[in-house]
Amino acid sequence: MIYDLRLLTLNAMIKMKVGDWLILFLSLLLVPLSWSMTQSDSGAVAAIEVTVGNQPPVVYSIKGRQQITVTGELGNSVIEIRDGKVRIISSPGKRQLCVLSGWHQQSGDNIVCLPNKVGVSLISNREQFDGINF
Amino acid sequence: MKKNINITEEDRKIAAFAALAIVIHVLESSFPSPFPGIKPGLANIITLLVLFRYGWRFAAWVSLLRVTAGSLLLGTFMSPTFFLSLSGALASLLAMLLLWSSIRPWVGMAGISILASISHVMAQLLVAWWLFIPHRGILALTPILIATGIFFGLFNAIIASSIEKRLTDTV
Repeated sequence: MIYDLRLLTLNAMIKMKVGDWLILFLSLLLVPLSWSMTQSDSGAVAAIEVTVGNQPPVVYSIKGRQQITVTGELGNSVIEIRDGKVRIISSPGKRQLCVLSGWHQQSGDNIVCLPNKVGVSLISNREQFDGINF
Repeated sequence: MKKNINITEEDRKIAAFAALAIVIHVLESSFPSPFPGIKPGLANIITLLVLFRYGWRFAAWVSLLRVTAGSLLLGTFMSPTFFLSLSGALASLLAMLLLWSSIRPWVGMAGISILASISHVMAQLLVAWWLFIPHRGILALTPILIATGIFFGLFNAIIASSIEKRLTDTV
């Protein structure tokens, strides 16, 4: 049995008029176009918010390198910022959870040194959401 | 009080085609999808067929009846799913109407189906964004949805046109 490969072309399967080809190609162009428009770095961290106790949060830039020392309930917590990443170097809490959690770089993340009442939130310019369920 | 409702031949045809579309709609909803939100939309084969045989008004009836009755059968009536479905159906009907009334002689099922399919996913995406998940992240799905929209739009058009060839004029 001889198979005719021409049957596999689009024209053999459906009658394609000029407008059909035009719509097909224009809509195929939409794919890379919409890709470049929507696949931006929406998760990029713009800044961090440091909250100590009941004080209003203080915003720091995430760029470059710096160490911030804040004084909380029990003593000093040292926050290190390095090229878009944040970690806690030292904090007086007993279990050292915030120090052990290491580097954070995802917007929406939070580092909390609970005993010392120090919180660091990584914020971006975009609105955030955690999850949704119906 | 007795009221007579005149059921025309056209009404019967609309009901019959809508019934076909509803069956496909319900069957398709039980197919597993590898990706939430992506499905072939096979019920639109019926809408396409009806559009080409009986015109736009007829297609609008079949499509909207399918969305409403389909959601009643699936238990999603008035739920987010229903509004997503409805917005998609309205958008693709609008796209069909625009093409049908403007460049009708130059387009066939393929073009209309592809454009209707893209309008469908884009309307759903915007409604999902405005009503349910107001986060830009959801717009990142756009290229994937458009690509699958083109594929299934063309796929449905091929099936619809091959059915059209086999349909007799008595239908």
